[in-house]
Amino acid sequence: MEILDRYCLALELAVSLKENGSWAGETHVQKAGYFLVELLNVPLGVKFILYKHGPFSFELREMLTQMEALGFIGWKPMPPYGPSIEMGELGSALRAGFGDLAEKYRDQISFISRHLGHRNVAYLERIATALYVSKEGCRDSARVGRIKELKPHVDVFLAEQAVKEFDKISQLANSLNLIA
Amino acid sequence: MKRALTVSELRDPIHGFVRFDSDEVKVINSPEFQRLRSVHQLALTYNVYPGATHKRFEHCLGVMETASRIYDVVTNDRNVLSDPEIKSIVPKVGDFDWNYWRRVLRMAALCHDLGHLPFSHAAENLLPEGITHEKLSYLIITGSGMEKVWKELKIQAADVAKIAVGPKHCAEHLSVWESILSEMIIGDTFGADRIDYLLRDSHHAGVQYGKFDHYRLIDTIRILPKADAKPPEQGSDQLSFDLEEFRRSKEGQSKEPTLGIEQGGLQSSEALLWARYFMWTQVYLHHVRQVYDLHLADFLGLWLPQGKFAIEPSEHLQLTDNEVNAAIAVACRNDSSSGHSSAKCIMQRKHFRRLYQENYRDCLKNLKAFDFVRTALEDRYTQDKIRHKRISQKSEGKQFPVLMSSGDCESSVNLSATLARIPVVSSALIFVHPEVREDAISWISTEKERILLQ
Repeated sequence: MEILDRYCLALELAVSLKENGSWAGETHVQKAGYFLVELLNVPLGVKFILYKHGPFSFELREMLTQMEALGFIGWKPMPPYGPSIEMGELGSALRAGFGDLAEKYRDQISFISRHLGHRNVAYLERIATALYVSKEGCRDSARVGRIKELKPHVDVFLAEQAVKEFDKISQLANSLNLIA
Repeated sequence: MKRALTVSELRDPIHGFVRFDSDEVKVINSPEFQRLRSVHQLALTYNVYPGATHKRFEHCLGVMETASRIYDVVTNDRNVLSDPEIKSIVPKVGDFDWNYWRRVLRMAALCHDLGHLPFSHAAENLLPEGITHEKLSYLIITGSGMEKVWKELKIQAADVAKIAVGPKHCAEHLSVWESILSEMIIGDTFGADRIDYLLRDSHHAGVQYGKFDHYRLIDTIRILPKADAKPPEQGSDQLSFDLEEFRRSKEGQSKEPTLGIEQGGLQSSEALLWARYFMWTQVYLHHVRQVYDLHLADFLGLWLPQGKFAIEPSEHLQLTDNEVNAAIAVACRNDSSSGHSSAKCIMQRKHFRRLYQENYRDCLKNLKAFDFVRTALEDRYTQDKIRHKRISQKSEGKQFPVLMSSGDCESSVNLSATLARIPVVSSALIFVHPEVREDAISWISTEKERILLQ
């Protein structure tokens, strides 16, 4: 798989997030990217670690920086929000020439964007951490305890909500055969 | 009886003085750290900028000094935000924890580059798969060679190592506080590493672009909640996301603590990021410097056992620029040596010449213009006459929170039009052997369109 295919996948994710009500800031792309890779097995080709407030990929940050350098994306200031990803001068050419991989995973991208696009950053941090602890092998209510252990600033009620919401998304993805 | 620590100082062209106590000097005097006296900070850049002969040794001392100043500023009671999460993680000045982490931070800053290979970044592609110089730093800091010194300093080697290399290169999870300490050293925007290398490299290279008001900048650094999202104003129709969600929860904005600045430091942070832009374009990505890196890597690929660097700390520590320079000189004199031609390129300045640079106009015609041109040149002249290199900044670092006089935090790019416009620097270059350069220039000028439109 070529790097340009993976750039296109990341660009399509940002575009799809925007279409679903997100302003597509870096955190949105990071958390949605985490769901794509770790829940739906989409080959974005980046690794995630547990960072300060949830899963984060330094490799995805590097990828977005390289995409900016190559003119595929740009960052648009959007006061009073954080900056938003926008299509760069060569973004259309990338979509036209290297869209096969993104097309293959279009359903997965749409699914994640529909469920996460309209959510705020704090919600995304919690639900991505719920996925992280589930991937660790924690089951049922133990996941809430694990979220609290890793992220003490998260309220118990909100941690419980995050686990429930994650389960809902995960079951739905399964029932729709979206896990690649 | 508890012995008194004495303080020593070294003169430094960037910071005036760098001070350290008699325990810390044991780390400075260790063979692991002294090795950095023989590792050039900017590889073979001194072939382009003759003054750029400075070493990792003084850079690491500078990073320790700068990181300490940042720590003292951000943990000062007057500068700690009342935000409960931030307040809960920052130790109180003078407490045991404050002293412990200050010492860990200083030692992590000092040791963050211990894993650097000869000539720093120039030939990192010769490390075995999955190994980076940061991983080597981690192995050296936690290895048996430095065990005794950490015991004497009463700090944990693992704490020093994880803060030195950061969460990206560390298998262990870092707490929020540990992540922030690591940011003070290797952070994308306000890391002491970056502040020191820009100032030091520009000083030695004689390139004034790298200078900025680091005194003002450091004084305004704060630990702030990341300002990447704000709840919309009531009635805002800019975006259609879930307003009810925001109203139900005051948690809509991320509170993730990170390093940012107080409003008065915005201009000095603009200057820092422009300095970085200029240093990348003028020095770090200078085409002749890039081709020297390629010749050096070619030479090392033939000279090193199995063509790779050793990752065993004891072997790593025995190899510096001195040994490599001596080997290059020997190979240059001996035309039957396997690294002879690369050694000659370096020693006799017969380096390859720049032929093609990736550019917007060609990419509009073909996004893979660079690869197409390179392959065509390799077919025409054979691979040993062509070298290529692609390099890009890994992070842009221009998005950070700014503490306004109102007490709110705002994203830097919303406040500074100049920050938002700083380009990410990257370059993709193809070089040719001097013997075929003239022919290649003429061939590529007539054939490029055909190659791009294949």
